[in-house]
Amino acid sequence: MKSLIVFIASAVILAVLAMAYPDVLLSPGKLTKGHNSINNDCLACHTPFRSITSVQCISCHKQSDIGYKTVAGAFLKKNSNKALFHKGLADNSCVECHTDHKGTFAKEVTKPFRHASLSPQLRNDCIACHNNQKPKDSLHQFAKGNCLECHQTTSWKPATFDHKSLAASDLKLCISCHKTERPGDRLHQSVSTNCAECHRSSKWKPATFDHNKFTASGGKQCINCHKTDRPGDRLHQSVSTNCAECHLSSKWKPATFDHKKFTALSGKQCISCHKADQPSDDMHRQSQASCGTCHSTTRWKPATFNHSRYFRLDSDHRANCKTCHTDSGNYKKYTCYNCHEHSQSNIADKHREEGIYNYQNCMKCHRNGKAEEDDD
Amino acid sequence: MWKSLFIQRTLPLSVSYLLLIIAGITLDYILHIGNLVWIGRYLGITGTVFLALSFGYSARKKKLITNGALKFFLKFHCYTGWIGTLMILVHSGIHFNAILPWLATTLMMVVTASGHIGQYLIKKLKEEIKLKMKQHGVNATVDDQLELQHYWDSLTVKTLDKWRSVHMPMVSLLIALTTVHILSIFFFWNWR
Repeated sequence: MKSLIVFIASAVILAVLAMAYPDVLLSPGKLTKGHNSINNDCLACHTPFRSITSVQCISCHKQSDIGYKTVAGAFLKKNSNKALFHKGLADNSCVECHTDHKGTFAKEVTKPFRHASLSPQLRNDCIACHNNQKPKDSLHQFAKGNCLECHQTTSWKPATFDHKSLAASDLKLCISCHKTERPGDRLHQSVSTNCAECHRSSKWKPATFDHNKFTASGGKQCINCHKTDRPGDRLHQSVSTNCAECHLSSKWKPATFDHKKFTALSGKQCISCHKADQPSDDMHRQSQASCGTCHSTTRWKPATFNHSRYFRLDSDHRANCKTCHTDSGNYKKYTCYNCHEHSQSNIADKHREEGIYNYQNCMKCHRNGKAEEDDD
Repeated sequence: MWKSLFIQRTLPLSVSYLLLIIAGITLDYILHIGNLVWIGRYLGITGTVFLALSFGYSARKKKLITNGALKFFLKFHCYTGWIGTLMILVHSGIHFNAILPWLATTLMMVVTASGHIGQYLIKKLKEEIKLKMKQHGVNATVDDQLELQHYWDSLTVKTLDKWRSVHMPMVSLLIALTTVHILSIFFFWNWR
């Protein structure tokens, strides 16, 4: 009994307090700034046991005035897009987007807009509300009203665009929409404005490029487009700007190089291109001969030079090349007189004693350092 | 040591109360990170149902329910009270700012703490009665005849009476706060 009395007494007291101070005891949060005047008047918005209905909202916020006038009747700034969002909405749809008791700022009491709450007619007429938001670019100039063809109702991006939705006549006018996306390089400035010749509609890369379209110009204008692709080394700086002389149109490597194109210069400029290929050993370092003297143009090895074939360099003849080959430009020339053993007068005397007078070409008889041996 | 009052009675009941708070915070956190706060709103209903069921013990004691062992109803009272409190605690975590429901939540935690103390006192009383009945050679079930055995005048019986005189008014006040809260929700909110 005592408990029942406590219950009844406290329930009555609490009920009276709740009715007297609903904003303190019952309000789940502060009202927006605009609703300050009804802070203590719950029934201004709430219908008992039916919660909020849009009827109460509309009694103050006339639908036709939203975006144009304040509740007090004062005019708002022009070009507000609020009017567009409220235009054509059903009378009872305020609570679909709006709520309260979430704080004093209006943004906090706006729920996400649900397009599903629109009438089917308005739902398909996106532009009736979103006209102010339609981009002015050429792409959107082709759009005919239903944003849903590319966009979702939750957010504008990411959007999908199906090129198939375009008219056949518009399909070749790629550049009318993609003007700003066209690269400024010479390649793209040279080709047609029909992007589809190389690109797919789903994404720009990978793209395919058919060089055959340039056959009319004989392929000689490669460098016009590929200037930045040309390596800075001496080889590429020496050759012509017709890349097709060595490279395929499908890919740069493997490439072929024909040395015969340099026959006019007798191959003497090998080193100007192959400097990095030259071995650092004594023979290659000292030699001034053309690479072609020993090597073929197809590959470095096997090389054709064998010194023993002409003269075997035994332990007495391990001399510097210049000792015998005084003309570093022509290794076919040699002399045996540049050492103390083989003075010209001494050699002449020895050969004349033997009755030999034609002794100028030493190697004809001496293929090594031995005096008596004439061939080995 | 293991038979001490602290280990056998105080510690389990303290752990039970702390576990209630930890479980409440954990579940509330899970609902928030899982974007499932709406579940918390409906836990208010199920929690209230559980708390209402826990009054079966009072109904049995007042003989509004005539069948069933009192021991069972006491256990049922403890478990449903604990689960109901946990649900209401999670329900409170949806962060509505109205003072009245928060007062109800606070009082609910006080009543639950008081319930744990009551549980401790009843267990202590049972042990005392068992001991005294044994000393006097009486054979009877302690749980079923608990009320009849109040003549065993002891300090614990007096303490239990005092505890009731505090616990029951707090329960009445909690019911009043809950009733006003529920009525205000029905009055202002629409269950759509």
